[in-house]
Amino acid sequence: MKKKVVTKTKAPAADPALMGLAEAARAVAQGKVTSQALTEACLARIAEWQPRVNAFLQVEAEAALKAAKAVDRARKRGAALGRLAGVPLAHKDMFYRAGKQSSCGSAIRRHWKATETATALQRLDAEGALDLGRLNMAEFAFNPTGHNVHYGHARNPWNTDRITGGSSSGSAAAVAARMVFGALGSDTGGSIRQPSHYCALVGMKPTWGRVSRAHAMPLSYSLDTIGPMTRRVEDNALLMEILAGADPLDPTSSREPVGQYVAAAKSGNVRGLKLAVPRRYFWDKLNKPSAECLEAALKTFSKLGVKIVEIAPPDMEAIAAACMVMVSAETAALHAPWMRTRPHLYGDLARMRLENGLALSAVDYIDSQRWRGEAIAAFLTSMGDADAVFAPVADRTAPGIDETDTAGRPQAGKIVATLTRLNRPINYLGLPSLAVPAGFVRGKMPCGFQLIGRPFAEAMLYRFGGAYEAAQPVYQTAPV
Amino acid sequence: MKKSAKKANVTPLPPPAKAVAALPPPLIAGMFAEAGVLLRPGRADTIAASLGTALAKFREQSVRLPLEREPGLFPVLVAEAKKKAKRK
Repeated sequence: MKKKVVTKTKAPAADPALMGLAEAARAVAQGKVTSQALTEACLARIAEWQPRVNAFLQVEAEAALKAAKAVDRARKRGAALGRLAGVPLAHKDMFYRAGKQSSCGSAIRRHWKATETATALQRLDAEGALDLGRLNMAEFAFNPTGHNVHYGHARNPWNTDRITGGSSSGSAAAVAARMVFGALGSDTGGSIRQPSHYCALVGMKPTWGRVSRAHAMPLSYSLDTIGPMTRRVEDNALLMEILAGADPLDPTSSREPVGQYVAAAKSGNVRGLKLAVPRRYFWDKLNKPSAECLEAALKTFSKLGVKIVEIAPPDMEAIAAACMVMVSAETAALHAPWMRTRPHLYGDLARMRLENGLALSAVDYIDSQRWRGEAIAAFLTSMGDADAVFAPVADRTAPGIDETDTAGRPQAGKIVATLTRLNRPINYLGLPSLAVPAGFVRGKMPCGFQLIGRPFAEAMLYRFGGAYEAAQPVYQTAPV
Repeated sequence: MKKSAKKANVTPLPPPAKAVAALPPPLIAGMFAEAGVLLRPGRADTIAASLGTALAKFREQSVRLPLEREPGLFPVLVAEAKKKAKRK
C-alpha cells in the first residue's frame, strides 16, 4: 500500500466541528451556534473521514438531525437545556440502547438488539447529548490494536497506515478526526488510555466502580471501567461529572461523592503539588523519541511549579501478571459457551485471547483476587506523599497496521502482547488514570502520558491535566 | 532445619514450584477437554509460553499469601478515599 502522508495544521475556528465539547455546548446554550449547524458540521467531517479511518459502524444522520432541530426549538422557547444539549457524540458499539443493534465488534452479535439502555448513555441523554451512531471497536473489546476482521480495521487519523490502538478504536478515530466532540470508551487493560495516546486525545480510566457499567458489554467484572475520550481536558471532566456516581442497576458502582471535575480542570494552579515518577518498569522499554517527549512534559510541569520526585514502584511485572491471570479467567468464563458452540465465528486474535483463561485453575484465579488488596497498598505506599504518578502510556507511538496484524504473522503477536504493559497494572490496582496528549514525536505522531491517581482522586488528575494543556495546547493541532 | 524454625516449632515451607512448570501443555489440553472447547494444534504450546510465563511470575507472589482473610480491592479503595477525606 502506498504510504499516505497526513499533515497537520492549526485548527481553524470557522468549522464548528473543530470546537471543543464544552465550548460547543456553551455556544448552543448561548445561541451562538445551532445544534443543527454542529450536527451538519460533524456529518460533513464523517463524509470526509469515514472512508479513511473507518470509525463508524453505523451513522444515524437523520435521527441526529431531528434531535438537533428539537434542541434548537427548545432553546428558542427558552426551555431549560441540559449541560450537553445539542452536542453530537457517538459511542463504542458495546453500550446498549434499547431496540438498537449492538455488535460489540463481533460477528456473533452482528444482528443482536439490546432490550435495555446503558446507564452511561442514559446519563448523557438526560443532559441533551446527541448520538450520531455506533463506533467501531475491537472484537468483544479484547485486542489493543484496533484490528477488526469483521468490520474492517480502524485507522489512525494522524497516519492512516498506523493503528488507532484499541479496544476503543472507533472512539479514538472519530474524536481525533473531529467527526464527533467526544465518545465513550471502556478500559479493562488500557483500552481508553492507549488509543488516546496514539491519537492525541484525553482519556479517563476512572477508579473501578466510579462509573456504572450497567448494560454495557462485560469483558472482565473485576477490571472493566467506562470513561470518556475527548480532545480537551475540560471536555473530559464535563463528561465524567455527568457519568460518575452510584447506580442501583450496578451494585459495584461506588457511593463515594463525585468530585468537581470541571472546576479542577479549569483551576490551572498546580504550584506546590507533587508528581511521582516511577522510572523502574515504566521507562524500561520506552523508545528514545517518546522518552524525550515525556522529559519535555516533565519540564513543563516543573515550570508550572510542580515538584517532581522519583519513586520506586512495587514489582509491576508481578502486578501485570496478576492482571493477566484475572482477565484471562474472567473473559474465558464469559465466552466459554460460545467457544464451545460457535468458535468459528470469532476472529483469530479474539479467539486466541479469549480462550487462554480456560487453562487456569480456580485457585490461581482466586489468588489473583486475594493479592489485590496487598498490591494496591504497596503501590500507594510507594507514592509517598505525591499527589499523582506521572508515567508513559506506551513504549512508543502508534505502530503500523501491518506490523501488528497477527493474521499470518506470528511475530506480530509479540508486539501486540507488549502494547498494554504500562496500562494493565493500573486496572488491577483499580486506580484512576488520565491519558493526556504531551505533544508530537518528531512533529508527526502523537505521544501522551498518563497521570495515575489515588482512589477516587479523578479531580486531582484533571487539575494536573488542565494545567498542562493550558501550557501545551496540543488540541489546537488537528489532522487534515 | 533452621534454628529459628526449630525454636518456633514450625516446618519451613518448600520453595515455590519452578516457573517452567506453571502450565504444561498436557494440562492445558486436559483443561480444554474438560471445558468442551476445541484446542487447535499448537495452541497449548503458545498458551504455555505466554500465560504460563505470567502465571509463574504471579505465583512468586501468590505462594506467599497468608491464610488470613484478604481485604480485596473495593474495601481498600473506600478506606483510602475516607482517609483522604479526613486529611482535608
